[in-house]
Amino acid sequence: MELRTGMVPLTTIQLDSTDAEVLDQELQRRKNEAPALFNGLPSLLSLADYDEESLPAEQLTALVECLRQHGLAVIGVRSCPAHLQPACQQLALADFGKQSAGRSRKAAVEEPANNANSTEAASDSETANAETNEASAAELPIASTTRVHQGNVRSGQQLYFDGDLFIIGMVSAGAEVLATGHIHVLGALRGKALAGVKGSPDATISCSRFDAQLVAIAGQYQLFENEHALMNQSVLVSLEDDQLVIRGAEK
Amino acid sequence: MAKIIVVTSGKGGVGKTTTSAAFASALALKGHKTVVIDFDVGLRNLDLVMGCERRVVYDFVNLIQGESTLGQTLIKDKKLDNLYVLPASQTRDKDALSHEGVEKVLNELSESFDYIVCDSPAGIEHGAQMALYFAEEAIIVTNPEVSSVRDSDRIIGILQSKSRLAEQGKAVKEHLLLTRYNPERVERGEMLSVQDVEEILAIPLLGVIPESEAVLKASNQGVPVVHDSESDAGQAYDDAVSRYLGEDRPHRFLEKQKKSFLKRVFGG
Ligand SMILES: Nc1ncnc2c1ncn2[C@@H]1O[C@H](COP(=O)(O)OP(=O)(O)O)[C@@H](O)[C@H]1O
Ligand SMILES: [Mg+2]
Repeated sequence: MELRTGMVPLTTIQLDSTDAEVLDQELQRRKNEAPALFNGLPSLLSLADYDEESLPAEQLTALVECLRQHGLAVIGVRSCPAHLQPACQQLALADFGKQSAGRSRKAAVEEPANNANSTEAASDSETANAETNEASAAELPIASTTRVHQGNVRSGQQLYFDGDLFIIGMVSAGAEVLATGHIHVLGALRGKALAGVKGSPDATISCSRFDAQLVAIAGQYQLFENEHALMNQSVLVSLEDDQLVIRGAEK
Repeated sequence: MAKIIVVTSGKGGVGKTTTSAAFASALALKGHKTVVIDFDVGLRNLDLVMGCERRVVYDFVNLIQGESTLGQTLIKDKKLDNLYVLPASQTRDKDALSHEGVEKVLNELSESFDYIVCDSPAGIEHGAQMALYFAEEAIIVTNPEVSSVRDSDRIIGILQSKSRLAEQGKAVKEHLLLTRYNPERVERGEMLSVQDVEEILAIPLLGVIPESEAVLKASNQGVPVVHDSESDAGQAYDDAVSRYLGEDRPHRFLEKQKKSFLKRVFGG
């Protein structure tokens, strides 16, 4: 799966135990230390070294539900073994592919893979600068200019955010989502998505099911009136030499 | 405390009034004291389907404006003595309904009823918003066609942002009721299938009501279709209300008649 995350930092969770009760207690303890830490924190769950015996599918469901109950926005998994793939689909978890080697498995909450301090993000725009400042000041692994919207965006509704927009849900036909940064839809995109609306050409749009009425990046737009080859597939939309490029993200 | 249910859709002519009448009657048949309110001010219709139009003296607007009492305004159903109709006014316009006024009436009804069913007018404006504002649960009536599904999606958005529960940070419980379903036309690709609609709207399916001549017959006679227990639509509404009340019933009438013939013979 090809996914360019750009300046979207994500936290990867590596579990010490697969017992949902143990996890529940650990999360409660961490929440007592830093109450706002998990609020809508977009995160990935690492499934690197589990097999059918050490982590059956029902157990994964319980774990993810526990994480979500504590306010973590678990949006995907890394290094997902085959037997957990159907469960991930049911839990609306995207597959973020293999975990890069050499990472410390012991840290329970890793630093984001794409740190907000990276030169790419910092030199990107004003938004990115603000993000860097706030992120280091609060020492949170998540940029404050990412908004996670949990739930569907229905026909007639509009969602705008100055920053990156994560939608965990679908965007119905007749709905519109706009962001100055990236837009990521974990669900079907059937309405309109406009990324980089203040002119950022590096913004991207990604979604798990593509059936958009319109996509636009930095003002370059494309309408979809007829059936097309990438219908209902996972796609990444980006701008290359002022041209919108839509790629299937499927392997 | 009564449970307040709104029957809504956005689009007109999809079967809201038919559903309100059938739903309220089935709830009453199953022993729950129920009142059904016509919010379609100016286009009175529910009283016809319920067969009580000749007994309307006072209406919802009279009641809100203090011109009549609850006892004078509620009409007792001709078949069921635990079912009442609160008719709409034919002569006022929709703006006659206010939040305060509606709330006052709902509170009063809440004391003595188990269920309050609100038949919404079409559209997404004042009247429809008034009907859904106080609802705890919503029956989203949808026909298997693109424009109806789109309007339902819109009304779901309004339920999730403009209802009282939404304002309190809570959620209205949503139920999808697919009506006027015609399996032959679905098979020919002329209509959306149950699966299509479920996928687009992403809310739990309460039931599928087939397109049926029994509905027209029932509304002409002023007897809600659930009383016609031989009919497909009557049975489908009965199933839906039973499911609503927590019973586990399989979905029926999803396939062409020929296929379900044996099932019908053997009472499946
Ligand atoms: N399942 C059905 N089969 C056949 N006709 C139906 C069915 N449901 C509703 N109708 C018809 O459709 C028309 C509109 O129904 P109604 O309940 O008044 O819709 P609404 O209240 O949404 O405007 C009426 O003529 C009604 O008899
Ligand atoms: Mg009506």
